[in-house]
Amino acid sequence: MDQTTFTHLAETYLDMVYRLACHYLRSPQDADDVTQEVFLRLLRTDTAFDGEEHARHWLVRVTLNEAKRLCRSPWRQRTAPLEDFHGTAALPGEEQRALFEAVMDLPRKYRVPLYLYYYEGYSVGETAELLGRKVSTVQTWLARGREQLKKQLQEDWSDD
Amino acid sequence: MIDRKRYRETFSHLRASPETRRRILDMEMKQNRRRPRLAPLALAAALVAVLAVTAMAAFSGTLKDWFAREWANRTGGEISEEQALVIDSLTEKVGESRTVGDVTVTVDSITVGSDTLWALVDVEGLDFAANARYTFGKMNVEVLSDPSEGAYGGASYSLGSIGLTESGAVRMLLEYDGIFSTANQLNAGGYTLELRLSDLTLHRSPGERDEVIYEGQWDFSIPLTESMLPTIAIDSAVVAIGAGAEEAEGTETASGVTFTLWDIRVTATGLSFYTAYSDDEAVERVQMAALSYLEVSVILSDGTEVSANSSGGSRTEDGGWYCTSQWPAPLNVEDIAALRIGETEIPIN
Repeated sequence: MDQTTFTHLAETYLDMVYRLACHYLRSPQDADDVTQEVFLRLLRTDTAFDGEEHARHWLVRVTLNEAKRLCRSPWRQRTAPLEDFHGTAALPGEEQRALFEAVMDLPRKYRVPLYLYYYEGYSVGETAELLGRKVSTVQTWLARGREQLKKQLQEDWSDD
Repeated sequence: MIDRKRYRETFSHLRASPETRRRILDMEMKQNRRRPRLAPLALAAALVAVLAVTAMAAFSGTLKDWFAREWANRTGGEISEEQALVIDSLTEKVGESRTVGDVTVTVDSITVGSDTLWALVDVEGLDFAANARYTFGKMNVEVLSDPSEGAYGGASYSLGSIGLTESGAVRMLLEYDGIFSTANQLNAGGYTLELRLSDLTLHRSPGERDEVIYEGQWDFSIPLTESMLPTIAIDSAVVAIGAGAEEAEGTETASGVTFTLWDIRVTATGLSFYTAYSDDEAVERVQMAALSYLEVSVILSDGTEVSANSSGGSRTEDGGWYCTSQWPAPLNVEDIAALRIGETEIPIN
């Protein structure tokens, strides 16, 4: 990969990769590791990206794979308490802190699709394809994730 | 009201640390540099070190208290009286201090297992904040003479604050895990822990750079006492690769693929075994991918199953692998009913 393309993709998607890794791993340190690993793989890939969306899709897939690999491996286990995120997130308000903590308290299978759907704007179908799951499964996860957040925060969703 | 806008506003504040950003953008300048983070120890062929600042709730007790808390976190239960006796037998007071200027560092106590050790390290002399985390900017932890005896081997260690003592000192926990292809054990006697700590550092949140709050170097040389560590030996076993490996590798070819393990040794602090890849290239490819995902746990006589705290592997001279796993706390080997390695349960008589 040429340096100009790498720099552009790194500057554009570095935080996306980190946020997705945080949602998957719930550990800022592990998310840092995964983020570096993903961009090292980007640097070394021979993939010819067919436009920016293709590159973004590739980065999401590689991030999920790297996070899964790290998470399932007994060779490296680390967890972090939620307060570890506060400096990173520098959340300005109580409402945001509450949502952040509530999302991070969810099981992984709800956190990751919520992020892809609500933050990255992927459709349910695209989210299902990225996660390698059926559309109906992702719909269920999104619904249950929203439901748990509603209960925990005692607030409604405007779009469920 | 929760909506997409609030979700995005909330998580837009979650950003990679400046250090990570710098490392990644620096990659373009050095395309041939080594990978920025260490490979899993399964790939280690030389001594490597990992610095991890652990983040935990305040703690000011003894090593036994620490193990009790870890055990409770993992199992929801208390350590047994027999287990407490095992911990006592592996733990000893050190009480060695080194002072540089205003700061005194003391190695309070140490627990030495077969291929793992834990030590409590206290730092005093400054006003420390209870909710802050401290470590050392540079450190070197070695066991001498080299238990690997020049053969393949590896080690990882971490040191970070876990709380304040009643006198206001920062209490840190050192955890060291070794993988010595010679199968030499740290508790065999004759080894020394060489510890060099430099520049006391305030570990800030992941988004900020750590700050050196006191420059200096504190050196320790602590003999590791010989101890009796009952060992359960199993000549060999065949274990099936876990479904986790299949899923992680996106293949179903791992079904039916097995590892043969030999010279399996189970102690109060961990498990070790030798293994090798198949001569069949197709099987070897799956095994190579799967070794990193091989899960290890111990099943106690009351049914409690405890996963290994950490695991690693090192090449051996003959091209095979020597693997170790460490339990989260020393346990009474007489309580062990079975091991689970991969998908296979190995009963212990």
